[in-house]
Amino acid sequence: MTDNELFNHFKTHSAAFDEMPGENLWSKIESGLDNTRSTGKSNLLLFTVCGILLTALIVWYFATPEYTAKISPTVEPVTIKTSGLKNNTIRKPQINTLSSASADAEKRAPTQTAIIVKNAANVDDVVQDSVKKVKVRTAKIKPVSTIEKTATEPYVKFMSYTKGTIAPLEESLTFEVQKKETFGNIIITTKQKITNAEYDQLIADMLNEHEKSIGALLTIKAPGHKPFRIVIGLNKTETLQAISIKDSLVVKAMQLNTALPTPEPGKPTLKISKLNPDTISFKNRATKYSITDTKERISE
Amino acid sequence: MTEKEIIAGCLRQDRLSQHEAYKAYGAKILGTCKRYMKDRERAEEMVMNAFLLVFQKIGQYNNDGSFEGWILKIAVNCCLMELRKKTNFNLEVPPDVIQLPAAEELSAHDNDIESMLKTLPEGARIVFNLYAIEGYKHAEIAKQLGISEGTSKSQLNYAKEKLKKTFFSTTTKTTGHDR
Repeated sequence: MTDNELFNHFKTHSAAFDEMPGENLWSKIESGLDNTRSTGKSNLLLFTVCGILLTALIVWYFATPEYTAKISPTVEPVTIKTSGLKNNTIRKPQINTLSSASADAEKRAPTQTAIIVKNAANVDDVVQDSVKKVKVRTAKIKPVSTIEKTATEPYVKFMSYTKGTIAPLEESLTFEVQKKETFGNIIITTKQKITNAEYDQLIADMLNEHEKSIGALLTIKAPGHKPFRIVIGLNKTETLQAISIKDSLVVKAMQLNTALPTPEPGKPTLKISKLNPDTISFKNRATKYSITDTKERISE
Repeated sequence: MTEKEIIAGCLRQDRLSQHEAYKAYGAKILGTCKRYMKDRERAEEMVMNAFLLVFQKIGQYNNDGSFEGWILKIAVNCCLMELRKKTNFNLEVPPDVIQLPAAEELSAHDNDIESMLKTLPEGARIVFNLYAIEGYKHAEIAKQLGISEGTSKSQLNYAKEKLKKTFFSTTTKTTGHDR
């Protein structure tokens, strides 16, 4: 018998295998079909629910005040075009109250400084060779790189605490802190992970402890928290005010800075180095300037 | 119900049309599965899997070839998928160790190809099925079973020789088995 004959034999007789399966098998197939349909439906339902939740989450994120705070009105950095001290033309500072200013500020180098003015008033009144006060409610000075984080938590927490909106914590601290004091800088560090409440407590305690170290820069660091930095003022109230520089000081600083020699290209126009309730210090080239409420002082 | 009506009904997931398809092609599918699987239970399980796949993937049928051919191909693939999990197709059997069944067994096998195929080892039976009945090429068999073409050829050769010697040789018919 040849191979082909063998194959043909099996091909022709293969129908002998055919046999109608019973109705039991059909009922099994039916139940299988029902299961796949219900699985498909439940998958669709799950997908829809996930989609709705995701959309709600996105909407909630963009609707939160923290996000909207990022689009707060800002002031453009002051442009200086004059040289020499005093009796020079003072150019009008260009102040923007538009949200676009923050976007512009972000584009600049991270070391640059921008002055962020909330609810800035019109400053068209600044004219040549004259110093006029401009009413600015609150001002914060922050590095441009941190502009996104306008609502810095430590400040908010501290202020809330001293105003009594957050109940003072009664428990004593149960974690170790390291303290370093060098050249007027006080650095408090803890390597342990602490909660927000404990961090607030630590800030409050350290401020109480160092309230007499006026002028010192107090820095508090804890893992998982933004470092808290503040220049200690005369008392708690003044320390608080340190973050809101007196309006007149900001304007004076801007005007004085405008009158100073043109800074080197690429250098920040106004780099404020120290803040106090009554004093604002900044550096232009190698010269340091500080302005108080009553007088202007130049120190080399 | 015509084939077109059955296909259209299955596309709508109409249960009546699906039942009609089951009645029309169930026998062929069970026959195919029985050739591949050793026992009836497993063959019925494969029929169920094949029909479920057919009803789920009916949208992929493009009306080019015969509907029956498409369904049978799905059934064969279901069986091969199951067999791949448990069978070592690479196990080669040299023709010189062919063992022939006893004489009393042979009388029952006359023209009963189901019993004839059952005398073959699993690997050889499947390769023989694919090559001789389904018309697959060695390259296709090798790809389907994950074996080399050489293994496919040797398995087929073993199956052919055993079937010829056992059921189609004149000496076998008269003397039973010549070992």
